[in-house]
Amino acid sequence: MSKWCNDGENEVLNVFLKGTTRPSFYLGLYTAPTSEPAEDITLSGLTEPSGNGYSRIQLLDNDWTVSADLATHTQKTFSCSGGAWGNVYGWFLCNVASGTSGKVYAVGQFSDGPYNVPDGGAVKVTAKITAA
Amino acid sequence: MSVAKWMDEGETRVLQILFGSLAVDGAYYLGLYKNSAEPDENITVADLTEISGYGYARKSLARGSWTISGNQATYAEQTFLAQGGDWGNIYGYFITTTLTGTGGKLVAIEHFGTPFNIVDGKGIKIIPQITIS
Repeated sequence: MSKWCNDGENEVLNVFLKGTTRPSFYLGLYTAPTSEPAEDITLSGLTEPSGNGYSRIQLLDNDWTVSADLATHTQKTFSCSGGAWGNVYGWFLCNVASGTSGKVYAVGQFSDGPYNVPDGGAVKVTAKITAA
Repeated sequence: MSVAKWMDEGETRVLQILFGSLAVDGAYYLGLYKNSAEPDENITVADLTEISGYGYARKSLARGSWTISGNQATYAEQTFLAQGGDWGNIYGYFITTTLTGTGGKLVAIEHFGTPFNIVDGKGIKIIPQITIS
């Protein structure tokens, strides 16, 4: 299960109560930190796989399902090609397709990770997040 | 000052709006209730005993007028005045999606540590606050 980060909590309130335009959402993977990131993590505090077919994946509105206090996105697959990514420890949700200037809304540390991703391997992520 | 807690219907609505399956609400509405026990998160507006008469009406909380700092949202102080009769003990406030009736969604409530006994000519001032974590 994931957790909201500080920037995500702030964004939720701004969208819900303040009238801020909803952001776009992008899903990424991190190889560091190796332990669960703190809630005040920023994009520059996360290390992503580099190259070998890696890029963040945009999450579309119609692919979310909300049931009670849980939002679940359809499964997304990150495919590694051309070289290994090494150990992947979790996923994150942010508002930019690339770079470190955006906001981290949520992180999900793999409870059974890390996944050591070789050339030709893949990581499948079903993003889930709750509101409370 | 304590803060309101999210209700189940409010949590669902947050996610529906955030992820695009529901249009945003133009306003939320602040009301007072007389239930003496703190309501469970799964109740609805219909489960609340609201003040009736003597000048009582829910207050509109306009979207965009909240002040947000970090994970906390605060709205300007709202005053409810009893006119023409007593309201009795007020045990908390709630935030809902409709100005009247029980058909709206119950977004959040705050249950007071001690009730406020509101008599004719007196009022109660509320500063709605809510956090997310």
